[in-house]
Amino acid sequence: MNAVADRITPNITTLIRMDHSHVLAVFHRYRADLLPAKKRALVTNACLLLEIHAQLEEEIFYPALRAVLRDDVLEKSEPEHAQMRTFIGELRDMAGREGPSNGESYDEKFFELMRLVIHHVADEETRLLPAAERLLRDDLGRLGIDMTKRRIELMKPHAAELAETTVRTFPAGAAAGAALLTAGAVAVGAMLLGRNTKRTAENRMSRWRH
Amino acid sequence: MAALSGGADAPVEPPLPAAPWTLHGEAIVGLKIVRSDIAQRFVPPDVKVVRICPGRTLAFLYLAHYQHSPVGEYRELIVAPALVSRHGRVGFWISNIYVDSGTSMAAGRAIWALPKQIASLEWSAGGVSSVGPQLRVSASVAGTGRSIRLPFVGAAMSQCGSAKSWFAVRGSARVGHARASVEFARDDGLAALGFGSTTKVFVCKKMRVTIGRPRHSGQ
Repeated sequence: MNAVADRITPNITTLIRMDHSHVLAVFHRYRADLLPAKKRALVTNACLLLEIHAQLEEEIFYPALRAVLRDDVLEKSEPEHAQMRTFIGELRDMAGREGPSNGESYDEKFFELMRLVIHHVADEETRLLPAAERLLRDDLGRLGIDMTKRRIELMKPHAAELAETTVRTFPAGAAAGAALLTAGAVAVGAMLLGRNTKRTAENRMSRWRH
Repeated sequence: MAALSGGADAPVEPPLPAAPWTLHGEAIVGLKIVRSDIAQRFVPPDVKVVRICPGRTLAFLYLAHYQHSPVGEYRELIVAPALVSRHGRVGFWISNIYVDSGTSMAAGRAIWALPKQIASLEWSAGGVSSVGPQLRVSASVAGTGRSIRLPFVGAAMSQCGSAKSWFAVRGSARVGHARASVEFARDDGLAALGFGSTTKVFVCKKMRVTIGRPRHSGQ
């Protein structure tokens, strides 16, 4: 990434807390009395956010922390992600094109996912993030940059779906802004990443020429 | 499933109960006049610190033990460094808030945009303490005098990520005076507010407090 992106990227523990707050806010919008199509959009949005977040943690945060810490919360994090993915798969199977036909089972399954995530977030923020802030102090910024780069790659194929489900789930006033923000963040990130990739390729070429 | 224990027709309970919340328990409340420039360090630039006298604002420290709440029993510590105003509304700015319940943490962030963090909080008759990595504080209370039942109302503002909110708080409690000695760890900056010295506090027993629905600005 270039110097601008490096300066504006928060460190990895801040990014993880921001992700947690974001998904909790989406959870809060879900109510049993919503229309099926809105429920489906909210669940799709939350599940995409959770999948991307889990993959980022597994690829970047947990390996870095595992190198300096042995902790039972860390050991059970990936099995909890696996449980979360099972719930997400079940929710996708239950949702029709226009939303779930059996609303109550769908609510119950989504609330089950919410409870699991809340418990996981609490464990992570109580034990793992403070440990990372203590043990990986000098690496938190670099890990934050790695996470941002990888997030852009992971979000790119889902940008349209994220923007669409955001529009359908946010209150009318905030929807357009939030969707633009989602699409814009991916576009800007991809541009920064692209510039960096191009520059790296040019550097390699120039080194080769000399 | 516990959520269906009320019978087949009972609605499934969401894990994050909607506002307003009514909580029952006890609390220790400390008020302090602090320098506005110090308080401003804990407040975002777009939020105006309200001066109650030249160069000074009002800060408060709130420690509570809720025996009953929509998410069960939990403990809480709030630091509000200043009385602030934004978009014509006035309230205490909540800069730091710690709870020992994951569900309370999740609900606080999602519903009221409160920057809640998890901390281990020990509550006893003599005070409150926390020695976790997130928060290191020790508060001891002595000399609780006579108490009378009083109503209270207030308002607060907070920010979590880009979401900001304002909400009203009202309730009643048996309120008495005591003296408390509070110590924050030096490295988290909260000690700068001056709660470190021995302070007069209000001890609230048999408290019932309702946290109103938030008005949000920004997402």
